[in-house]
Amino acid sequence: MAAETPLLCKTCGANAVSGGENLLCTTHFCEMVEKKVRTHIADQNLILDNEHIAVALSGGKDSTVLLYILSKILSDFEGVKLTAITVDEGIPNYREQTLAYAQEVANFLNIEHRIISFRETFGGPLPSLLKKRNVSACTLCGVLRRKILEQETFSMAVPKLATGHSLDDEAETAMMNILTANIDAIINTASPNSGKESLRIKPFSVLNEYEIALYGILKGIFREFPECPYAGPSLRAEVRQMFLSMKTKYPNITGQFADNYNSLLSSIANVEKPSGKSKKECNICGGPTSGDICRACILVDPKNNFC
Amino acid sequence: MILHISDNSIEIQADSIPLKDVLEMADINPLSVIVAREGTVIPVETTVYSEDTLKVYRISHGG
Repeated sequence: MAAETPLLCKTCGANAVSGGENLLCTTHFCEMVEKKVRTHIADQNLILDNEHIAVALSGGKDSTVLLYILSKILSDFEGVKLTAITVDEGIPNYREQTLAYAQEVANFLNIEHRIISFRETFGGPLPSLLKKRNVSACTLCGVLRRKILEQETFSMAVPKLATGHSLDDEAETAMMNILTANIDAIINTASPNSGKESLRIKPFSVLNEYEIALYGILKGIFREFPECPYAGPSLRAEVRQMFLSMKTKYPNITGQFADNYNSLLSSIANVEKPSGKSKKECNICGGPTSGDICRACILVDPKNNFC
Repeated sequence: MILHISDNSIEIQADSIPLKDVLEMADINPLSVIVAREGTVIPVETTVYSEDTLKVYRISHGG
């Protein structure tokens, strides 16, 4: 057998862990990832001195790596405090593991951690809330999770909520909005914060899934968890596969698409929606909504069983 | 060589070829996974051998 010529880091010559045009060793790959996040945070003023940032922590790879990196770069700022928030949807034989890992990570990083359950907020875990409601599990779960994160962030007087959305997540959402011609959603994303909702920040919107996962593996914080039992065919899954296939021929397609889409958003920031709906307060909970009652309040109301 | 993916294992008959080709033989998009050999992550351009045991991490799944 011929001796293999190892692929070497273009910076220091050690064995590379990432390939393609980005041959880097563990040390320089992790430095590159942290530098990207630091630069993005600084350029966009995502975090300022003396802020209290809520971090959505599911226990999955993106949010775990986000909390890890944010805790690491806190020294760049003065007086910044992080609080991790985990939503327990109560999905049996699935959530227990990620919940335990979220606790372990927050504890290891010495970060305040709050766990809020569907049961205490909406009266039951996801499986029981799904009964008598003719709505998909992912729709109900997504709306209610966002509701809890929004409420919790606001109740803590924390103005900012950091989420682990990656460049790929952003590109997928943009493509889904385009494929469904959801002009309201596109304009909504571009609209300035109304002041009645927490400000969402996405420090990982400059990193792709590969970079986040590899960083997590190299730092020993990546865990493999079973797939959510409710996961199934979805438009997002189809769009993800489409981007994955295109990346083989056009490696930078996701980044280019996301960049150009963001330029489009900047140019329509103050455009009125075709539906004429603007952000206002929900008549029931006071949260942000574009109608009279927010989607979460509609979905949890037992009178609205959608059957 | 043996590929361990989550709880499954796949045996691929190949020797001295790039990891990328092995993954494609296993019907895995090389962009969707990260692979480690003997606990060390390796780029997809790395040559792998018949006696290798590879751990395959799926980057993302779900809907």
